[in-house]
Amino acid sequence: MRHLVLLIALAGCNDPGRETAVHELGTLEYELPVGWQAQEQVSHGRRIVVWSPTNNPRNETITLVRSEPLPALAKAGASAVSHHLASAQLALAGRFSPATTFTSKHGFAGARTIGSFTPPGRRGAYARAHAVVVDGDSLLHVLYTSEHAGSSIDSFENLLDSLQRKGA
Amino acid sequence: MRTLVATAVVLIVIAAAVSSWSDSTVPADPPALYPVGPEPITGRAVIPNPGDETPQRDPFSPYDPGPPEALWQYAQLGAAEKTVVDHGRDTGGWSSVHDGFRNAVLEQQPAFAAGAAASQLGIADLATLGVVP
Repeated sequence: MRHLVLLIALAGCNDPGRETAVHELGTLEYELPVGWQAQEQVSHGRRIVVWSPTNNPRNETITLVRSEPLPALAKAGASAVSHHLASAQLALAGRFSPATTFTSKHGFAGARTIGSFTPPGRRGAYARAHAVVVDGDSLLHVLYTSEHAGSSIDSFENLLDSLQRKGA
Repeated sequence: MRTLVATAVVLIVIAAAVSSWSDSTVPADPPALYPVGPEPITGRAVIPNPGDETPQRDPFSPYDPGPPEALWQYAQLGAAEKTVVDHGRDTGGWSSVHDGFRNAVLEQQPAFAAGAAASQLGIADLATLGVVP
């Protein structure tokens, strides 16, 4: 019930008129609001791009992580991804909704979950939405993280909707 | 005269260069032949001859303690030795230790399962990823 309220609150914050910019990640492109800045890093051999607004009072980020090739899981499909996604949230000190499968506006299958957790060394809860999209033989993780549980994740939703192959 | 001297110098240099090349037409000395025999080793051969193998001992079989008169009976032990033996034979507190390990495993199991799931998904550090301090 708590997650449902959060989802409704987040959905109500959508701002379809917001100006966006197109960015690329490998063979994919996606949209984010104008004014967001990216920080790239490599961790565990994976390319990670962390986006955040220039003015960031809510400490919001959208993180994209491209996995290494995982052909078996990619072939198993979104339901298998959903199972692992739900299990992976057990490492977080928080509560998450059951992971559900979805198909994005441009036809990418994936799984997603939403909830809140308390990061190590922090006192307050952070909102987190985590979507995993199957792209070829690898996975693309899209994570929205914000310090305030009631904050908007319209940028997260818009990113998933805009995700498509370059030149499509 | 100068041309003659220059020509002579060039001829000397060429002669020196040619004489310094190795002559591959000279056959090399054949390698010396020595009698071939077993290489001397210390100890036993690693690969014994057929029939000379040492049978492998069953690692789970108890060692032979020897004849009965070589054994120490409990009654022969001193008080301090009996205390040590009694402590080893007392399994009364073992269940709490086993329960402690069992509970620790059960407590850590979700974290292990979550780590395994994250690894399957090709991601790590979910607790800190994208968290702005």
